[in-house]
Amino acid sequence: MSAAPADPQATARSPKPRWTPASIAVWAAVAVVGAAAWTMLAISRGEEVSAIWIIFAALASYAIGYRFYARFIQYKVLMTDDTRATPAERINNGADFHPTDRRVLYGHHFAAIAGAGPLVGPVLAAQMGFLPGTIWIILGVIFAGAVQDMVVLFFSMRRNGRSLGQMAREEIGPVGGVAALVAVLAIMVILLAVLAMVVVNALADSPWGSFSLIMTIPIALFMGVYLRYVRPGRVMETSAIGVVLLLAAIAGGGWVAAHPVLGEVFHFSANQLTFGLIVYGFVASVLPVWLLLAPRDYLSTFMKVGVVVLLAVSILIAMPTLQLPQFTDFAFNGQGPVFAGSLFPFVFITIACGALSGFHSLISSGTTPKLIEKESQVRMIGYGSMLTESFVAIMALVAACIIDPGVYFAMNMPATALGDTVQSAAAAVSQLGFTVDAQTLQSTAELIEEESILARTGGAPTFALGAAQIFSSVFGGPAMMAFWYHFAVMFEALFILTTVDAGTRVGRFMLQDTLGNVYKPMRDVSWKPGLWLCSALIVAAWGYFLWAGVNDPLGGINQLFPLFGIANQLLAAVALAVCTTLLIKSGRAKYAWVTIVPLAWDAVVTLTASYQKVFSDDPAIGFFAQRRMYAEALANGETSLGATEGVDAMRQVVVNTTVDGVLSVLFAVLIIIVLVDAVRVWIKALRAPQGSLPTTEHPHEQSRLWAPSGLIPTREEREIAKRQNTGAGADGAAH
Amino acid sequence: MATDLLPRLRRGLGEAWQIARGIVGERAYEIYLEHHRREHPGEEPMGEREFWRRHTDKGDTDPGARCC
Repeated sequence: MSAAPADPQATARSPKPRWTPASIAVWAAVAVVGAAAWTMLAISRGEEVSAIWIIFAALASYAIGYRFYARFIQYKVLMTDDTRATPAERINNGADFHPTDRRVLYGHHFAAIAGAGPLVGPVLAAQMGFLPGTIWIILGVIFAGAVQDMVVLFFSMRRNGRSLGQMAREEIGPVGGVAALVAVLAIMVILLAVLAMVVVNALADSPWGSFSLIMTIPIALFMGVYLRYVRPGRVMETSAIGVVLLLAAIAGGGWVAAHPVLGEVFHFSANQLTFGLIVYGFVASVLPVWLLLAPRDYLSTFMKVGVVVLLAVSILIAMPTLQLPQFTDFAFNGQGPVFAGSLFPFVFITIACGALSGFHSLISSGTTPKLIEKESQVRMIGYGSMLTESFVAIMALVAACIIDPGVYFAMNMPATALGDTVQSAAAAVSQLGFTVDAQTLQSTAELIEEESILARTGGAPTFALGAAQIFSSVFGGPAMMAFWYHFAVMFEALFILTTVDAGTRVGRFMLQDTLGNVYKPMRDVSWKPGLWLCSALIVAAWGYFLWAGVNDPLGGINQLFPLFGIANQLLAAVALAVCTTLLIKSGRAKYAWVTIVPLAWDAVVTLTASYQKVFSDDPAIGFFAQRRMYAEALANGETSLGATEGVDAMRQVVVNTTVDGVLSVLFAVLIIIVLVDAVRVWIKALRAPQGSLPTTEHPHEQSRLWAPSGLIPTREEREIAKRQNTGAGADGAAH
Repeated sequence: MATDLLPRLRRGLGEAWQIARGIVGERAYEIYLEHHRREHPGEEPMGEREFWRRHTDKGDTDPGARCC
């Protein structure tokens, strides 16, 4: 912020913390609260546990992780140097490189990394009880996810904001680079298909939900035109209008659903929605950004921040009780109906976003490193933003665990396993050991004004139901349940449509860039035929998986979600391998365990999951075992197998399992290639004399800028800010 | 102390508002103007309408990554 010459005292900041009796007391209190909360979660047997303990365990652990582990990484491992000018300061071009206030950048980075992902994974993982998900989300983020985000951000910042793909190519080699590119494209396609499927499952046969989501399109178009022609640059004002219109659309949805004609008009089947989403994805990705994507983005950011804060406050006020046990039998027997496989490795695959998400490395090596003001701020922005996303995942887990377990399973089991009526569903769920009566399933559906809650897989409806319970116990009571439910569904669907639009564009650009190597004009992003062709190819790719998933007789989410998790963790492996390589090459080999440990864990988890998905003899887990079972049944002339009725459905299973199985093999091979290639470079770097390997790090240039490092400036920082008498001080916000 | 509180609160709220504007990207034109004055003094900067048009249209050629 301040362009004044640096105060020499300011740059010579001692990394040694000064312990005072007050600070010792505060951290001792945090540790005690954390330990008490973890104890409550771990030892309670049979009695009711308040969700507040999960929140306390998370917050206390985050605080300790941020204060001690992240600080250690910052000063001992990365050795951030505030006398070094960041790319934002050096290049400062008034556009993409620009020193940005740390609090603004924190919000920016958080809005870019957090989407629907952390709301889905924890809900699905809740089938194993609340404890596995809680432990992995909290420990995973402290030791793996946030470390990855922070270290990638640091190294990219030292390289003028180079992308992960470029760093993989330059530091590991062309093989690593190609693997990174393939991983990104694959994850994009699977991610878009899975997220679109979440929307389809949430909105099928729900006129209320469909109406309010469809209304976001005219709202976004209006906002786009308003921002372009009426009030250019008035983003806050336009977003506020958009949010008001959005709330009106949600409220109006109840009336539309009850209307005899309109209720029918907005009543869509799963396949109609699938087709609609595919068409939408294509049209939205070829329209100019200002018309649809930009206003949608503004709306999503507003809703994202607003709902996260609202949910956190509501949980603290409502203090709901956890209904699911610590562990269910599915954690150990691998027979879970939501997704198959036992706790290890599948909890760690299912919960990616919120604990360790490889996708974040693309943001940490994209926009953010070009905007960061001071090197020491990587802790607050990289590590801090990821902790916040992890907290979102914790809240999603809480939302899933406070609803009746019977209702949870009735919502998340595949339709074929539940049958068509609430009676058959209640019987199926009760057989799993979670007693629920048909009446409860019916009255829950009536409470949220939906036709049915059966087999609403994908996580969004479950999250929405839990969130609606929390919200309505604070605001409005049971009468508001239906509004809050559709509010939460809409909130998630809005993100997802934004991701579908943006993701299709990103995929299209990558495809155009790749095809441009073969046929030059492809690379020109304004060449319409190339643009349409590449958009169509990307949409076709995720559209295929979406269609196949929606029509999968075995339930699409439980088949596709593990693949999404594996793809995401594959990207994390690439990112952590790049980080480790850079740590070793830059003479920090002594501390390379900081990224090697999460990398090793990630590799073990992902490869075990891939191995089971490919080689398991259990048809519920292994894709090829499943394929064999169905192929043999077809060869024997059978017309039904288990809950799959008819030859066509059985053939579909054979095709789907083949595709999914081949993808699992591809991902596993890619991980092994990246690891082997990275280890080769590590050995070479360790053998070479210090500093003899080429590095792409930008040389040290003296910084002339000063700014505080953390969210709240320390007393010394405030004094410096005062002396400089510039806008750098955050005095007001600190009090 | 009490007389100090109100202006302090006002300053804090003002700062929070500017942070929120920064997060949604509303300060882009101000940032451009600051940069322009510093680097190209004397030259006429782009008009606000023109700036926002170009700023938004950059997204057509560079969509930026987004997450799950």
